[in-house]
Formats: sequence, C-alpha cells, structure tokens
Amino acid sequence: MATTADDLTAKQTVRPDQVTLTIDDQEVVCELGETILEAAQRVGIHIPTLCYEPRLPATAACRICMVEVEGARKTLPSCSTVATEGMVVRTNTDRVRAMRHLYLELLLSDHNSFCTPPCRDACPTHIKIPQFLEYIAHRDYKNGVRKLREDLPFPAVLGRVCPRPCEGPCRRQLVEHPITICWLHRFMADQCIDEEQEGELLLPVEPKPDSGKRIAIVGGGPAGLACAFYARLEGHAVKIFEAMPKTGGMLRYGIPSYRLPRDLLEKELNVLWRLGVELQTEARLGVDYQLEELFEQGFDAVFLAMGAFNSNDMRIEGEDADGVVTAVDFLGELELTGDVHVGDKVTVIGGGFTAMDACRTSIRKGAREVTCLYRRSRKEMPAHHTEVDEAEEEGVKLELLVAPVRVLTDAANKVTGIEMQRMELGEPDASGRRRPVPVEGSEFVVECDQVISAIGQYPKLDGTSEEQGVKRTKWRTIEVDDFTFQTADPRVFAGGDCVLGAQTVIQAIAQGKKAAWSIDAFLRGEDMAAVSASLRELKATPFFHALSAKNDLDPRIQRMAEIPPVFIDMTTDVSHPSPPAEMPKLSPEERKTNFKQIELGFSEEEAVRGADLCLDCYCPANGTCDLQRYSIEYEVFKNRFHGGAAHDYEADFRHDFIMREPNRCINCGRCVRVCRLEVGSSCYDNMGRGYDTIVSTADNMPLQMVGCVSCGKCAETCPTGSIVTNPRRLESYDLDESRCMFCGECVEVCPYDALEQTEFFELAGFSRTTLAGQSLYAREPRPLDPLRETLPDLVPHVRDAVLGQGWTWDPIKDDPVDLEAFARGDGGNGDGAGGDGDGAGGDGKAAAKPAEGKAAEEEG
Amino acid sequence: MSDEHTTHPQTGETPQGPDAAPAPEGAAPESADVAAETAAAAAPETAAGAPETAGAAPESVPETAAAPASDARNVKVEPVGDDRFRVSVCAGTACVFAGSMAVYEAFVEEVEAAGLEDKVDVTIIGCHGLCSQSPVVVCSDDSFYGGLRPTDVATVVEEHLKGGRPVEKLLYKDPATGEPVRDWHEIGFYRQQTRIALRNVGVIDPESLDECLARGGYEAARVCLTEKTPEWIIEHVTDSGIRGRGGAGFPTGVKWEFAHKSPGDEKYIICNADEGDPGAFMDCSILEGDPHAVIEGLLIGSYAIGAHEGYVYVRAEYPLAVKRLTKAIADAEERGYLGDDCFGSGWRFDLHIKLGAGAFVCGEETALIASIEGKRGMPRTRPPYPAVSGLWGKPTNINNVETLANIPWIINHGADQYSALGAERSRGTKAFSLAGKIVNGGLAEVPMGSTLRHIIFDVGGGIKDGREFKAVQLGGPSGGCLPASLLDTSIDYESLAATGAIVGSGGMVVVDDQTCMVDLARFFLQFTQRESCGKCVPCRLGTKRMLETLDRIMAGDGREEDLDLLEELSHYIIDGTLCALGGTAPNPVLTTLKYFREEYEAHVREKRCPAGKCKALITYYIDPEACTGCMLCAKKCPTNVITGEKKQPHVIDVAGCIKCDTCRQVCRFDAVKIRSGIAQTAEV
Repeated sequence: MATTADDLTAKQTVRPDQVTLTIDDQEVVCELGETILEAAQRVGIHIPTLCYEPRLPATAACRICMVEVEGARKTLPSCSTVATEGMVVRTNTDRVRAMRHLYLELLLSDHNSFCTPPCRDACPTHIKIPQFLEYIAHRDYKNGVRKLREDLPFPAVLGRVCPRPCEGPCRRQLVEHPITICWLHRFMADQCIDEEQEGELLLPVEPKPDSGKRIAIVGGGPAGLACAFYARLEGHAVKIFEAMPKTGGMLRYGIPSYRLPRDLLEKELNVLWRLGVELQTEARLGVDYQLEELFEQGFDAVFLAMGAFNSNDMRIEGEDADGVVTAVDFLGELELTGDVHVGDKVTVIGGGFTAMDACRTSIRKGAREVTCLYRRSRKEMPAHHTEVDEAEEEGVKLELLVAPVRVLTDAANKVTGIEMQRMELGEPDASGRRRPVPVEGSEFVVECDQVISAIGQYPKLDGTSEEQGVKRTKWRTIEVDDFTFQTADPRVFAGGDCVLGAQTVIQAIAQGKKAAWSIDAFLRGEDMAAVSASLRELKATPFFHALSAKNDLDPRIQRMAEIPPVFIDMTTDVSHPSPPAEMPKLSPEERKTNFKQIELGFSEEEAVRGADLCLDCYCPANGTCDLQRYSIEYEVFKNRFHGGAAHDYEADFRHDFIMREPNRCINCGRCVRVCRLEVGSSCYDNMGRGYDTIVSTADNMPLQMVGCVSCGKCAETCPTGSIVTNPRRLESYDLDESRCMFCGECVEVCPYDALEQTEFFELAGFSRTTLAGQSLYAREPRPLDPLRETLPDLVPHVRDAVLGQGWTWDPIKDDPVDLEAFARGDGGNGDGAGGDGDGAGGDGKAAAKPAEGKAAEEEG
Repeated sequence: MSDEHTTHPQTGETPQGPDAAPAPEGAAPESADVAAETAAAAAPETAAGAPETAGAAPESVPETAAAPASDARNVKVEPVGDDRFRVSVCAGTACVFAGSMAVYEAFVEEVEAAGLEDKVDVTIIGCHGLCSQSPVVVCSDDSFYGGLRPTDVATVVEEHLKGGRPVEKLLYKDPATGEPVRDWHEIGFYRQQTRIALRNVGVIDPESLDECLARGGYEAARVCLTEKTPEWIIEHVTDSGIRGRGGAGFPTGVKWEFAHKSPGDEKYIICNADEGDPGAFMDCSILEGDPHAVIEGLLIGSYAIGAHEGYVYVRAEYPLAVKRLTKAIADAEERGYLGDDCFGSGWRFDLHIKLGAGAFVCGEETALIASIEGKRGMPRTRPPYPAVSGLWGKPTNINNVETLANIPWIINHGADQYSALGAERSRGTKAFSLAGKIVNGGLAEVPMGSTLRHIIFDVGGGIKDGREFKAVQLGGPSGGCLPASLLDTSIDYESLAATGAIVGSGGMVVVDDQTCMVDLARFFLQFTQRESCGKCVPCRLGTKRMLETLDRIMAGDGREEDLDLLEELSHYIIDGTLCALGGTAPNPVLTTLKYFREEYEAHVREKRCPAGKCKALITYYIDPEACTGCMLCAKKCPTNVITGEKKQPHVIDVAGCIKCDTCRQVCRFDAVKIRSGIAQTAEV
C-alpha cells in the first residue's frame, strides 16, 4: 500500500493549487484547502474520528482525530486543520494514542448502554434472549416462540431441563437477581403448545421447498431432533433412526418425569412429525441396519447423534456386586418398564445432574435413606444448585469430599456397604476446579444395600468403525471437524453427546442446529474444506475485522460462524430494583412420593413482569458502532472512570420511524449538522450545558413536532446506536391527485431523491393543453378545467433561492430540462415531452412512490 | 499634576494583621467561603476620588499628556468657579450592596436639613476601589470614610461639613498603626497604584458625560477621527506595547492590523465585557465607573480597522454596568460622538449592546460571536480567526474592556509614555481585583512587572486577621495557585506562565493558612466544569471526572493512583480541548498539585486534611483545659450534641455532629478544636 502511494506521488507533478505534506513519513499531495484528515484518507491512512462527516463542515468536537504536527505545541484536530505545504504530521504516536485512549475512556464513562448481552453469548445455541423477552412483555407469545425457534426448537422442554448458562452472566444482577430467562421461555412455550398441536406451526421461517436430498439421522435425542428440525426447514427430507421404542434420548431415558413430563415432551416433538420428519424406532445401528446401507437406501448424508449411553466404571473393587447399578441403567429401566428396583438404603456416587436424578428418583420410589457422595465440595458440583437444594429438601443426604474405595459385599455378593475415603481440595485442574486429593487413613464405611454410580458417560458407538471413516478421539468420542461436524467420511456428520461426551441438552441442541446447517451446505455442493477453513479463519480474526470479513461470506455459511463478542468497560446506571418472581413449586412433602412436575410455572402476570425486568442490554448498532470499534481497537476493557456519575436518559419512541436513545449519544453533533445543513429541518441541537449537554430536540419535543421529515439521515450519520431507524411499517405512500397541484415541493425536499420529476410532472404547471389526455395523472386523465385553459403559461417552479443557500442537491443536474424550450411551448426534454403517453402512467406512479424503506432491520 | 510616577512598585509598608476590616466575609470553614468571599469582593465600588465639578473645563490634551503616569495621585478634577464642597458616595456594586444608596439618601436629607444645599453637592461615583471598606464615601477635601452607616451621616454633616473637621473616629484607620488617615491618597492601597485604565473610575459621576469631558474624555477620539489615519493609530497602539487585557495577552496593535488588512467592506468591532471569573470585577468597575472610556476606545478602534458597527457584549448580571453603558451610548450619540457623522468627521459608527446570559464560555471569542449571532454559545475551531471570518462571517476584532479603556490614554499621552511602564514584554499597567483573605480587598491598577508581594502586601495590606499568607489564585478559574515561595514573581505574561499561573483577566484571590488547597482547587474546577459548553469530550467529561476524583480525595476515599490520574487527565485535557476554557481548566489542580502536593498526599495517605476543612476527614472536640463551661456552644449547636454541666468542660458527641463549625466560631476561649487524620475516630 505504502509503496503504491509512494509511486503515485513520485509520478505526480504537483500543481500550484496543491500542497505536499508528510503524513507518517509518507509524502502526500493534496488539494489546497484540504484538511489533514482528507489528505490522509487519500493515501489510505486511517485516522479515527467520531464526529467527522465528509459531507459537512468539521466541528472538531470528539477530539479523537487529534494528530501531532511538527512545530505545533499542542495536538491538532486533523478534521479541521488545513494541510499546508511542508507540514509534517504524525497520526499514530504514543502521545495521540494515549490521548485517544483516555478520551474513549471518558466517553464510555458516561455511556449508559451496552453493546451486546452476555446471556446470548453464554447460551450454547445463542437464543435471542432480549428479543423473546420483549415478545413476552408484549404478551405476544406466538411470535416469541417463532423468534426463539430460530435457535432452539424445543423451548418448553429446555425451559424445564436446561442448566441455564445464560442466567449466570445476566446483567440484571447489577441490580439484583438475574432474569429467569429459562422459566420465561418455558412459560411462553407453554402458552402456545396446546394450540400448536392442531393449529399453525410456529416456525421461525417458512420451510424451503423440497430440495430432493435425504438425510438420515442416527439417534432421536436432542442433537438428532434439533438437526432434523433445522434440516427440514432447509427443505431436505429427514428420517430419524431411533434405537429405543420412543424418541427423546436422554430427555426421555435420562431425565425423570418430575422434571420433564412425558406428555409435554410428546407435544413439543410433534412439531417435527408435522413438519414431515420420518421416524423409525427400535432400529439399532450395527444390529438392525448398517451405516453403508443408509447410502444404499438413497440417503445423501448421515448425521450420527447416538448420544452417550455407556456409563464410566468406578474402577473399584466390588463394582460387579449385586446391587450396584449405573444411573443410566437405573433411570432407563424405570422409563422402559415403568418400575425399577430400589434399595432401602441407597448410595449415589457423583455430583452431576444424573446423580441428582438418581437420588430423587430413589426417594420417590420408596428408598428409606439416600446418601449422595461427591468427591469435591458443594461449590464444584456440576448439578445446578437448585437441583441440589431440592434434593436436600426431599431428604437426600449429602456427603461431600469423599471418594469410593471399594464396595463391601456379603457372601452372596450382595452389597452391604461402601468404603469411602475423605478428600481435600488441592490445586485447580484443567477444568478450573480444585482437584480432590485423598486424605490418608480417613477411610470409613457407609452402609447401604444399593449403590448407584453416576460418574459420567461415554458414547456407545456400535455400528460405526474407524474403517468407515468414523474416527475416534482419545475420549472415546467421534472425531469431527470443529466447524462442519464432518467425520472423515464427507457424507457422515456427527454431533451431540457422541462428539462432546456426556454434556447438557442445550449443548447437544446447539450442535444439532449447526450440523444441520453444515449438512445443508454439503448438500448444496459447498466445498466443505473451504467452509471449515473460512470459519476457522473467522474465529481467529479480531472482532471488528471478523464482522467486516463476514460480509464476504454466504449468509448461509455466516450463520455457522460464532464470533465471540468483546465486552467494553462502560459506566452504566442500572437502578430500580424489582426482584423477579419466584417460581411456584410443590412442597417437598407434596412431591417426594410421586413423579409430578415440581415447578408449577409462572402466572402470566409474573412472566410479563419478569420479562419486563430485562435491561435490554443490547444495541442495534452493535458491530457497526464507531465508538465500539475504536474502544476495541484501543482496548478500553478496563475503564478507570468506571463507576463515576452517568446520565440516565429516557429513550424516545415517540416517532414512528426514528428511535432516539440519548444514553448512547456522544454529542458528536453529526445529526445536528446533517439535519440543519443537508436536510434543512434543524430538528436537533445541543441542549443543557457542561457535563449535562445532550443532543436533543427543543424542549425534548417529539421529532414529529419539530419539523422532522422522517428522512432518517440522522440515523444514517449517527456513529453509535443513539439514533436508529425503526423497521418501517408503511410499504408505500399514496398521492391524492385530487389535491396535488404539482408544485414539485415534495420532489425537491426529499432527502433521498426518492421522488422524481417525470417529464410530465415538470410540465404540469404551465401547459395543460399539450398534456390534455396524455396521462398527466398517475391513474387516469381527468377532463380539462376550462377555466385553467385561459390562464397564461406559468414558469416552472424551481427554488433557486433555496438552492443558492447551500443545498447540495441539484434537481435538474441529472436530467436537465430546457426551460426556455418549455417556455416557448415546444416541449423541453425532446419530443417525448408531450408525446407518447404510454410510459407516463408508470412514471407518475414512480413519482408517488415512497422513500425506499432503508430502515435497518433490527439486528439480533 | 505633573509629578512623575514611579514605574516600580514601592515596597513600603506591609501592614500586617489589621484589626477587623468590616468586609462582608463569611467565616465558615467550607469551600463555600471561597465563593462567598469572591462574590462579596466581586462587588466593586466606586471610589469617588476627588470631587470634581460638573462643567469643568476639559483639560487640554497636551497638558495631560505631560503628566502621564500621575493619574493615581491625580484623581482630582479641579473645581471650577465656585467652591462648592462635594460628597461622593461610591455606587459600585459592592458599596451598593453594603448600603451606600441609603448613605447617599441620608446625606441628601441631612445636608438639606442642615441648610447646606447651596454649598455642598452630594453625588455618586463609580467604584472607588477599596471594596473592603464599603460603603465608601469620599469628600472633596480628600477625606475618606469607610464602612459608613446611614446613622453616622448626621455626625459627618454636623462636624465635617458644618464644622470643617473630619470625623476622626469614622475616618479610615491605617491597619498597621491604627491611626486615622485623613487624605485617602495617603492610604497604602491607593498610594501604590498607577491608574490608567481606571483613571476616571471612582473620580467622575459615571452618568455624566460632562464630567467625563472635563477629564479629557473623547479628546483622543476626536483627534483620531479628524486628524489621524488608521495606520497612524495602529502604529501608535502597536508601539505602546499594550497586550490584550482579557487574559490571552495578544498584542492589540497586531490584532487591529490583522482586522484592518482583512479584505471586506463590512467589519465589526466587539468589546468583550463578558467578565466571568469568580473574583474578578475590573471590567465591571470600568463599565460602571467610566463607560465613556470604553466607548471612546471602541470608536478609535472602529476607525482603525474600518468597522462601522460595534457591539459591547456584556453579561446581564451586570445591570448597573448595562444601565450606565446604555446611558453613556445615548449621551454620546446625542452629542454626535457616535452615529452617522462622528465628530463631524464623516465617520459612521453605530454601537450596540448585546446582553450575555452569563455563560462563562461566551468570553471565548468564537463562542461570543456565536452568541451575538443568536446561536448557542459554543466555541468553534480556529482558524479561521475572527479577524478573517468573525461575526456574520465578516472580519471582526474583539477587545477586552480594559484594553479599550487604555486606548484613549495611549493616544493622548503617546505610546512612549505607556511603554515606559511595565516589564520587558508586558508594557503598561494592569488592573487587578483583590479578593479573599486580604485586608484591602478591591480594585487596584499597578504597572506590569510589579511583584506579587507588592500587590498583596503593599497594595492589599497583607492578610486579614493577622493570619499567614498561604497562596494566591491568579487569573481566576483558568489560572494557577502560587505559594509564598513565588511571591517575588514579577507580574508579566511570561513570568507567570512559567509558574503555571496566568495573568488572566486580573482576578487575584488570596487565601490564608486556613484554606485547604484541595478544596480550593475543587472550587475553581467545579466552576469551569459547570461552565463547560459541553461540546468537546475532554472538557465535558474530563473535568467532570477530575472533579469526581477530587471529591473522592476530600471524602477520604482517595487512592494512591488518583494523583497521577489527575495529572494525566490535566495533561490531556490541556493538550486536546477545543478552546481555552477547557485548556486552562486544570490549571488550579495542576498548580496546587505542584506546589502543595504534600497536602494532597495527606488526604490520600493519612486521610487527613491539614487545614482542617474537609468535613469527612475531621472531627470536632472540646479541649477540657480551655473550656470554661460557658454553655454557649451547647446553646448554639443546631443538632444538640454538645453536653456538659455549667462551668464544667463540655463534650461533643461525634456521632451526631454535622461539623457545621458553629461551636468553634462562637467559642470565646478557643476551646473547640479540630482533629484530622486516620486516628481521628479512635480518639474522642
């Protein structure tokens, strides 16, 4: 780049109206009167600026574009300093960088807004949380479900079983508790689920027409079901092969019905069958059919999602004793047969969800005493803390920091107890949790007649082999491409627990979704290696560069990209605590003897209020915001002024098309100048003084009352998300011809030149006779007004006076009209002026068309 | 009238510890008292120097020219014809607030009652200068009454006007000796001054054009317009070496030349009377005391640069100045000095008054122009400078009140006479408003190059109540705070800039050892922070964060890194702001950090306020040894937390104490003490 520019300047002959200066050791030739910023832009040197708007005179308010000029004592704003001969400019010295960093810190210290919500990033499948909460707050549950299903097909199910990673980072905690995101989408889905059984399916998009491709899915668990859903929406035929008698996988055979009622599961899965997903149950891969057979049957791709149904061994003496079972077998048997043997005194080994399920199921099946043994402390337990609390409420005893040494048996090899050893916590391991270290000589015995082990699972990969291309990892899972989920056999994809190892439902669903999109790409004939490479590259790219790089990608591949957000440190004033509603539950007494659903669900009022508590901590300008861009570029991740005073303004939703959020305003004044100098409306100005200065309308009146023409130029120029356009509801404007007097004012004031003067339009004023019967009007010609015929010819109305005052738009520049010719009455723009009427109707229509809805679609 | 004035300050008497000067100063130990003091002192008064007679023959130009710098002593206008005695009551703002109008009315009544109407004139004058003595009354025999109450007037009329003997007990007393001073010219405060810009202030009746003419008013303008060329004027002004008295110190002659050479038929000249510094009232006093001097300066300037229209941008908070200026313009128009044919020279000059709404930033020239144009008072980037594109996009020249008031004198007396005064690159005199804990608070004009010590101790009479000098804040909120070690700094643009302070518009606030420097810096920073126009980021947000940091330090929550943070913020605010308001706003903090860093460190590290002012860092207690059990403090305590038996030592319950300082102020035995530091809560 530099050499090219050097070559250019070397070849150029400097004219007298040009000046030569040096910017960052590069010689630049620019026009006389150009600013340093403009000169730098000529040669591709980027100087950051927030308030500079190329079409307008500089205001130099943001002070971000400050540069060092040799000989000047202070730094100078490059946007308004005119380049002079021989000037030596440095745009990126330590001094100006430190200055910009400080100014960005200052701007962010009063930026009462957030770029992006942490909840969405924390969710493995990135559900659009603030958006669906907005629907709940408006009691529009159907559209809420549609929005949610863009990323999660089963909101009712996940609303019950999800470990809620989204709630951990919720910013509502700056005030109080996190938003009950999970319970809220459960509530929303519950409102629609019955109606959906027979009625309209609540789909995020219309399913695409049949692609003619077929996908076989091995395993009807969360990953397979999610994959089926999204693959079906892409128009592919999908068939699920399920080994068990019913679909659901771990949802059905691992999670007890007091957490997930089976009828609800059936109902929610119904959406798949109604979408046309085929199902074959009790079809075991490797036993009832082989992988190769699927291709022979005409499937174009296979998705392996057989889950992780093998339990880890405890690897201790006596593990094979009578009375030792794995939690997976224990829970599965209950589901399959409706009953399971439970001991009198049960010991459960493990601290995860499955362990808790086993404990609580044992209680419900009549065990007198249930003890849960876990080798670390309560804090490290993988199960959600509410699960642990509820188990304790139901009578489960916790024994922490202990590990099993051996199972004690009687002569008949029947369990009599288990010997445990105390542990203490050592250094953190790779997972960040502290490693348990045995305490010598601390062994003790817990008496019991049943031991249920729940210490993790791994996939059962029967029917697949390395030779077939389904390679294994050292953790006994399937090896796939990180981004495309493709195995070594390009036709075979895999996801869910069989790739992840035993993980959560929501992670499996996320994999199913992304795999469906990947399979879709494969079936469309994409070069999957290239797709994988580009996604990998994207992930390694810094945030803002990744966003611009995304524009080159096919949107259908873009959606597979997960660009992690960058969180900037800004001061926000979050106030007004209002604790969310507690979910009503059955009491321990009511629930411990049966398998009734424990959580009863929110009432509508509780849900709406709960959703209303969302801080909406996202910004529509996330990713396009200049303040965000520079803050990331200058690494303002720690703000020394964090916690200082910050303004808390109210957002202005009063205008139909333009939304103002003053909390995101940086007072750059671009909207002020654009509106005044380019549009001519002068809606905005700085209000207040000093620290309280804010760009607003006079007396903060609604825009529509201060001469706003709804052009949206303010939103267009806003460098942050302070002024944004709402999605337009109007499709077009209509012209009332009975009242239009063809003054042309609308044509002239339209800031987007969306209206045109057709040849007939301009003629309208002065020579009606020539136009008689020639489609002057948009729809149908009207009879002539005999009185008007006698009037003298009028001169076309061109607002010279206005145009002379700095208007940049020239109405006759593009299509000059020979006014003198018109005045003579022989038509202006060639013969066609009064001539053929065929196109005229259309033109008239065009003149009445609205400004193109430029409204940015709300970004997720 | 021809004694040569010394250009160098005399380091004569430095009266220390005068007994209670009756200045309206609050004694509350909070930051508010800085404000109270500056506000109180900011009210100038007119010192009626010597009485003069209406309709006196104007002194001829050559005559006055021969007596250049003598004006300080030469404030008398010789009476013409009759020997009427004259009583001049100061009607400067401070005196008016102190009740001088009631005194004036009392004089009118008493004189009438005594039947002296034929022999005695009672008049008003502009600010006489010694505001700490307000209300001030001077008589044509040069006697000076300070702090006069209406009830004293009868005595004065009886003994002085009738009996011919000044009332000794009411005369000004020398703070050092306690002896009454009869001739006010002998008062140290006046003796040390050289009055050029203030030559008529406190001398003439500001509402009388005739009195102005009697003192040579409009002579310079007449000469310029009828006999001289613009080039001659500009050369003359350039040669005098006068620099802008508004603060920036740009050479006035050069400025005029720019505007003169700037192409265009339509030009403007503006008088910047938007004096906004807390504690500064020079411009106010000049406009109130001698509006014609400013009008004359503008008229000369308009001719020099070629402007047919002029504005005086004056803040609406100066109603008296506006009133007198309005009358002065009307009078000048009536006599044909202003208007279509000034002095019959054919020169057309119209002068308008534009009232400012009191935004400090409108003293910045581009903001001032925006304000006159009816826009929001916000500065814009320069270039283009106003001399090229100013008001309505036309070449515009802007001068400060004091600068303009000097111009006629320079024309009359010659550039040499003016440049003979002052230090190397700072010629002439400068008016200062002395405020704060100083004996002689008021308006003082001294040659540039005088030392701070000279102004504070010789002119100002030293520190009030016999306390110790701690620091002086120069140049208002944009200026810096200098310690005792820099008292011998010469007051000129370059020397002061080297210390971190500025000459500025001339505000000078003196503080004693009871002032917390963090608090002082905070006070001035808070002013600029509130007055920021809000346009550029460093000023709008940077000053706010600086203020928050100072608040934190004063609240005892200061962190070790805060001092560096303050310095970094200051540095980049100065480096990057759009206009001089932000560019100078950190000066008070920077200079106090430079000269009083240990005080900041005491706040941060020891949680101690050495001056005992920061409420969060102090506790009050009663010294049982000193307490006599008089119960006065207990009676006055607003929260009733002082207990104790009669004639027994009292105790303050710290938990309920709101640190209002009332007990300490009322205690006659100095028994209420302040404790500060980390250990403060441990003891009680």
